[in-house]
Amino acid sequence: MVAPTDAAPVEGTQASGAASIEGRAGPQGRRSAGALDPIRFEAVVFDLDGVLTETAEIHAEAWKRLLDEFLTRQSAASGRVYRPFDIDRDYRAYVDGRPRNDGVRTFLAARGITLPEGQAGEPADSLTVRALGARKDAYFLERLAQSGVKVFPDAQPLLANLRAAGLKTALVSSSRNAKAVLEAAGLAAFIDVVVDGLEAARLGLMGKPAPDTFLRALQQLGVPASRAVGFEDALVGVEAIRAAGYGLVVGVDRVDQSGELVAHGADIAVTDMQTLEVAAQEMATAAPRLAAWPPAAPTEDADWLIFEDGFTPTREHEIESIFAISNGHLGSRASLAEGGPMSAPATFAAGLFDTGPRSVLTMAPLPAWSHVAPVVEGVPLTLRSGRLLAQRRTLDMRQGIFWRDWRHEDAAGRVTHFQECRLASGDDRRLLLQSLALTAENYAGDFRFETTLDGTAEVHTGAGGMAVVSTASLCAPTPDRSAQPVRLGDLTVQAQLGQACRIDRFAAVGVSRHDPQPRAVAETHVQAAQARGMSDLIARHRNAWSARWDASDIRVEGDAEAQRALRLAAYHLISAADPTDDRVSIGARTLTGLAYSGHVFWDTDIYMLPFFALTWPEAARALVMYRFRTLPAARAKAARFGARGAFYAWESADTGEDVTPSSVVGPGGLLIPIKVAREEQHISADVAYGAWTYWRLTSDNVFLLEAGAEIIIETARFWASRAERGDDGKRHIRGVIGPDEYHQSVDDDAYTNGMARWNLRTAAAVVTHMAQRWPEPWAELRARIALEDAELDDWAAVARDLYTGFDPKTGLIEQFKGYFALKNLPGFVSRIVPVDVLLGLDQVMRTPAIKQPDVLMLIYLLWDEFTPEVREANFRYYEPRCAHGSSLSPCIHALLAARLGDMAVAEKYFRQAAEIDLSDNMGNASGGIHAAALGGLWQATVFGFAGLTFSDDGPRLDPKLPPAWRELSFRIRWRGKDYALNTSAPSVPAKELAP
Amino acid sequence: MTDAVVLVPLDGSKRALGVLPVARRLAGLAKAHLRIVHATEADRPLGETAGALGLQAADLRGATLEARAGNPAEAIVTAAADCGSRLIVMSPRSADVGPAGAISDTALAVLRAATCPVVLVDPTRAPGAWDLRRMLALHDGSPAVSHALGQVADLVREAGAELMVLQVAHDALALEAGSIAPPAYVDQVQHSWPAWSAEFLHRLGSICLLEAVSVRLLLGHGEPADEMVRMAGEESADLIVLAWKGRSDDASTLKAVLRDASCPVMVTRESNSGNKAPLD
Repeated sequence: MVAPTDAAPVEGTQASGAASIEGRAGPQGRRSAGALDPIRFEAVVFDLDGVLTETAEIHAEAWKRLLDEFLTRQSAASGRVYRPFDIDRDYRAYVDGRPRNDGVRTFLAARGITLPEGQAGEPADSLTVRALGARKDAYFLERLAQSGVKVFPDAQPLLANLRAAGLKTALVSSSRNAKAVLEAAGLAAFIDVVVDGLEAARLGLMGKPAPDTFLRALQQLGVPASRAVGFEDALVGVEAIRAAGYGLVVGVDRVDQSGELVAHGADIAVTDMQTLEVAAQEMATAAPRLAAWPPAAPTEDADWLIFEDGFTPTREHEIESIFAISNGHLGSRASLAEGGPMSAPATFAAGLFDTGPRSVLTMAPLPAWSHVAPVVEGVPLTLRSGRLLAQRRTLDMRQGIFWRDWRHEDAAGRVTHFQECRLASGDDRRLLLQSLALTAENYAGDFRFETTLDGTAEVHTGAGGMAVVSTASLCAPTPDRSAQPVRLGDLTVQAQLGQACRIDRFAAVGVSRHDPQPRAVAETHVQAAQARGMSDLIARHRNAWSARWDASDIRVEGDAEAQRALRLAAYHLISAADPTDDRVSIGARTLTGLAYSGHVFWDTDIYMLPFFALTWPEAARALVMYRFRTLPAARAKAARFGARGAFYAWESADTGEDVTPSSVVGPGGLLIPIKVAREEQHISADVAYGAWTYWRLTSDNVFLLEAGAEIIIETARFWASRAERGDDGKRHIRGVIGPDEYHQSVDDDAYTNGMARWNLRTAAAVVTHMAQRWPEPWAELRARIALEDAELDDWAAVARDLYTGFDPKTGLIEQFKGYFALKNLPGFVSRIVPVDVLLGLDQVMRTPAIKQPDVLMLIYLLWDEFTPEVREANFRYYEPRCAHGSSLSPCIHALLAARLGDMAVAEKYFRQAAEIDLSDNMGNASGGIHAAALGGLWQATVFGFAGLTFSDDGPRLDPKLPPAWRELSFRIRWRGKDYALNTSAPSVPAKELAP
Repeated sequence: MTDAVVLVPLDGSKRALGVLPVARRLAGLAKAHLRIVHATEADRPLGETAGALGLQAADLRGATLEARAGNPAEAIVTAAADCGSRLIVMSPRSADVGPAGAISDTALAVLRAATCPVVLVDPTRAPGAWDLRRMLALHDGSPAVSHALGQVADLVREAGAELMVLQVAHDALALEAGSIAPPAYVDQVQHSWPAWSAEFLHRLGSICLLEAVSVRLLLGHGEPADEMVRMAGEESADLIVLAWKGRSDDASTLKAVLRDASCPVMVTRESNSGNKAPLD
């Protein structure tokens, strides 16, 4: 709890109706009305300068230097009396807390001076608002470089305590350098969301004292204003927080202005933020009562549900994957709570890797938090003995909840009813929740419980990472009695005939990568969760899912199977993303299984990203920022390969280093060398394409300025250095593997060359765009990456001369040099066996069988670059040659066939893609769901069947639906606006929704 | 002396004696004693029977001899049932007739009716000395076959042998719930092959107890019998194991393997209880 201990409440605070503040809590830890505890408040939002860091002083000095220079010059020119900038009074009154240019205008207005606004590209010494603002920034950075960032001594302890207490945090600053300052100050890890001057400009938000930026922070945190606390030192900042309606406004008084802070709207003013203490959440004095089962109403509409009835032991691993729960930060397989020989329970934390079997960096499993094995009258309740009367497991996609309903008769004839639900909180990503009800249907007797985790456990990785899982349990032996905190291992319940015993389990995970004090975070979160109670936590979780579905749901009228498949796709994609963490990305099997070791492939950039960019841009941003954060590793890889620019990892984990295994023992014990890390170079263009796609769909200019442009330029540099000039005068990219991995070490792969050319041209376009629109940031970036004009010329030449393999007579694009000369092997059956493993790559490479679309993938991604005839000719040529040796294949064929109007083929491939997980038709769902295939299914529906395209006028549809589909409707967010789209009225402009 | 029995039917042919080294070794692994049974239409004293079968004193050491009257196949199956035989080890064809690799009606009838695994040792290919170092088992990925293999896993363990499990990708896939089909594809082989192999072995191991057994997974494609024989030759298998439902009229895979395999072939019976969970 946070309550001022030494600083007395400022007079008038309570009378204003704001939160009352009490002194330090007594030994019992009573929660005061004004306490900053996880019950009353969910988020704390800070200003930067003057609150967390002492840059206010540097800012003030920069302002004084700038304005004194200006006033001196202006005095000389106008003959006015020179009156210098008052670093205390003028600073606080006119510039402190305001956006830079607002500060210039406000101060000059106070002196009766008006200057033109100015424009991009004007000389730095121009007498304009813009030029003065830019100069102030330069003075600030210059001074910052000299003195470094000073952090107020009370800032870090408070932030750490807030983190430990589980409160969300945000930073709101008018500064465009806020993130850099935060990083330099070592405080970035404590802040979940940053709304800085760049973000405000991007969104057109009004600066302080308008509430816009503070409201934006809450929007990103997903917290209502009444449940937020704001800390500000600037008077305009205090006004902004008050106007935003925060539950508590704290004025931070660094310059003896408490009275003014309160006068401007602060509930309290403190001179030292450490006078506010953050106490661990305590249990409510009155024990909660657990209602009768269930803790939340299950969804009834079958279109939102996936069922598994009965028990087939050898299918367990598939079930665990398909029914897994996840919130993007934590993921947990839907294993049997009581365990069993076919159970493979696993819970993962995004970004936590350790060296696994085969010395491959692999997601590190966390302790089995959901393991609860009931023992009835001394006999374990298990599916392996006795008689299964009924069992239904349900994935409730609407609410993100896994349900289990199981009735079992043991050898003595005792019938026990076991009910369970499990979820990974979408509201608080550190939480995993489980609720159980056990009913003795025809007997009375003792229940005991075995569990492998009854408290707190740690996981340490070889690289020094750490995760802590903390659990707590409440038990209500009967529905009418108060619940008590219990240790499951010590618990014995005397079950009465027909009465349900209810147990709620709370698990919280702290991860060192994310939480500076993981144990404190885990334990505090779990205590707070227990105090809050299961029903409230589930209600919040459901709200979070409801918001996601509002943005993401696709409705298919007339095809219930397709409807469920698309919802399963969206369910697992939503579950995989965490918009608050841009240091991790989504692995090929998300957090639902260990296949592919949790590694990140091109799957994310090409197959998953469009879903997020159009339904959850914040999550998409985190994914593309992961690529930016791993750019140094991509540069290093390129350098190792003797290339320039950025060569991204074919498989990456937490750092961006390439973690692709170098070999594998195949069937028969043969050692198979793995070439993809070296040769599957199209990954670099894929990453650039993802960055470009995100920007194109969201208009997130800040991303382009700060990250996207650099990604696109560095990958273009890679291609420019890779393309060799041939004797034919063409440029060639030799020794690569395209998406069709059946053919390795080939020259001039169509997809690779085509995407490289796109990458080069797009980079040139980005350079032109940036130079015209944002000359200053562009100049900074250009200097930082040392981009020469000659490089731009080289890009253009390489792109122009790059070999295409296009035959104008047939309209066909040869997949790689020599592909058209390949012949089928006698008896070769490509569609039922893994040909590369069985026959060996040497043999497969001599056949025209392809693993997945290569030329067709290029045509899909660069659709507008090809004529209808070329699209059609290549589809008809390559589709029959595809073995669909990847889950990434059928969805793209469905999409293309739909665009070409071949609905029978489109529907065939759509079904095939839809069943990859639901029917495990690839035979490998046990290792986790196929996230790329799910993203591809969504794309096949939206870009294929619905025919979604964009123009400057907005989105439009050109639907071509399977015969049974009466209507397809969905929502997207495009360039900051929400649209509701419906195939029933394709000629009518998409309905734009009110923000 | 143990109560466990390995039953060895002999028909009086000289070559049939060639099954004895295999039977004796398997009995040792099964911790069982040999029971030699001779089924004949006519009653004959046991002393005469031993002589008629060509048995030497050494052959009978640690073994018992039994003569049964009646239809040979019925007599063998009844004898096995009466003593709860762990295995039946026999020649696939009667007397010294028939081409190598052929299977007689008697052997086929025993296969259909026996409740225990039957090891067929072709007398024309019977090794002089035999040991179990590599067992090759055909597996269609179904739980039923895993159960069938469970009947002989202890032999592999006791022998310290390697169990090679071959799955053959072909058009006819196992349809039983919980089956794991051959991978339709291997995407990113560095990940998916180890993952698929682990899943296959996990499913097998959850039904067929494989503790302390060295297991290797092989993958083939085409006709299962051809692949089985090919792999047995390449991998120098000492024993081939086929799980059989006993329903197929032509037993084509079994016959083809018997025809071409150079090592003994064990036939275990599939049941429909494949998806029952293993007992605690």
